[in-house]
Amino acid sequence: MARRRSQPVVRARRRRGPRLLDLPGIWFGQHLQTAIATFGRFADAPLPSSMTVAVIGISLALPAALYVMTENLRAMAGGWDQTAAISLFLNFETDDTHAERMAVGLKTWTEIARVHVITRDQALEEFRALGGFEEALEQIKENPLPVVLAIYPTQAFATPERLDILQNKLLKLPEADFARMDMLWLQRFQAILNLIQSASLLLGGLLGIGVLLIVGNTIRLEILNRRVEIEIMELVGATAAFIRRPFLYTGAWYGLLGGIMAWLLVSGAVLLLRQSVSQLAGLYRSEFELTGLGLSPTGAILASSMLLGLIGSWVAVNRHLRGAQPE
Amino acid sequence: MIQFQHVFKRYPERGEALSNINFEVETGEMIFLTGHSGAGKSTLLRLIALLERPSRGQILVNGRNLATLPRRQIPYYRREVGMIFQDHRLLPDRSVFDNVALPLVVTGLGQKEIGRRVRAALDQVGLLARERATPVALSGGEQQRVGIARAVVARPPVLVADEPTGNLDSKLSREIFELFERFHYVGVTLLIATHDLNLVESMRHRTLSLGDGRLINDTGDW
Repeated sequence: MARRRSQPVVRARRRRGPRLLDLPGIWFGQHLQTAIATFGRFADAPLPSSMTVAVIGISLALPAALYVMTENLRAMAGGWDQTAAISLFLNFETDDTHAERMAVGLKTWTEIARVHVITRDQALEEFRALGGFEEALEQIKENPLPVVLAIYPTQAFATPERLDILQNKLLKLPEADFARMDMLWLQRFQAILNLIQSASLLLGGLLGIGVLLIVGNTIRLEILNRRVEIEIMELVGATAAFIRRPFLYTGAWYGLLGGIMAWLLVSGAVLLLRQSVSQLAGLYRSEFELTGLGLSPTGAILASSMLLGLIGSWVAVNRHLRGAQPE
Repeated sequence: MIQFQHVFKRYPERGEALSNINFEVETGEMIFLTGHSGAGKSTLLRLIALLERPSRGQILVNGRNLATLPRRQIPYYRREVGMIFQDHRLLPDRSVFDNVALPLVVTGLGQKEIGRRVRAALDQVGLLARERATPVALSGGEQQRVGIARAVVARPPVLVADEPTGNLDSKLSREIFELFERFHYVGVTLLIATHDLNLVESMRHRTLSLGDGRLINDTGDW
């Protein structure tokens, strides 16, 4: 009985157009179709579209390259984190044992947390390891290097002003020859890196706006080119969403292809420079290697470039496609 | 099916194009709309297609009041009204098939179903063999038939044609009109604007005559 009753309902539904259950399928199908069709348009007009893609790619490659540069510099500087705040070079009359005694004395100072003695032999070894001086060193019979006290201040005294005072105080010691503030230099270097990184973010923002304008203008021209087609589609009952969709997809494709282009440019540059950077690092006896864009920066570039393309086309579409509007 | 109630259309630059138009079209009627050029035939059809809105008065089509139809509904309304133009309005860079398929593509119909219906429509206008041609390669009469196939492919209950034979000789015109009659016989409501009075008289359908924006004659049913 129940079966019989349900049959006419099913039949009645079949007669009407698409069933409600089919709608997500239609929606997905239309989007997929549009995505493929708009990508196909790039193949139809490879030159003009590749020009736009190239402009987007170069615009995005600049901030990406700056990012790679600062990340590499940061990695390079990471090895120097253990640098002492002040290296106190002692005069030649001071030998290793005297220096050790000095270190014990200095450790009682409130400003100083730790003192590390670099003996003359250790210094020579380190100097050899730095590379480039072997021949010069072989010429010299006697060790020309002084004993160095690496001085690590307490947290409270690790500010530039206080280190300055400490340095002056240390220089008044009879054994002191001269002092170098390594940590300060490192801090400055890191501040500069931060500045470059902020600047590259700013540059990225500006160039991002540029990408928006490029995509917006390209889409605007496409809309104008296809005015007749749009009019006819409105005439036969295309919804505003249907007409907008291909332009939005085109914008997203421009963004994504531009992002891929930017990635290729930066990765290509890294690949080209890697050899010479390694050579240079080798000369300094360093294992440092240039690293390119990692997985998450790559994802961020592709996602943001696609989003920029989408927003750019969205702006153009909203300004120029308002849907069927009777006069 | 179509109802005009005290419809006025005024253009700021041209003045009154239609004044106080009243008439009613039953479902399945085939009606000719005649009048000298500038009498308001095109304006009247554009109002039905909702390409324009009247300055005053009400238009009801297929149970809908066009004055209160929200903008979002306009595309769906237009799918119920097939339109045929004197200049065909075909896309020159698309094949005949793609042109005819357009009203179905915008509804999101599946490829298979689109193919089936497009070929059925092309068969009706006798152009099944030319589906791969571009409109430019076709004669004027053939182009108009493509336009007709596009108008009927989604099987709208109402067809409006604005001077569909304006550029055709009398033999081709008669063929086009006979095609319209076939749609009339299957229950489609047709409103055809034309100034080919010989043809209108020989075909004996209800005829509305416009003069200076007014309805000056309605022959009523034959």
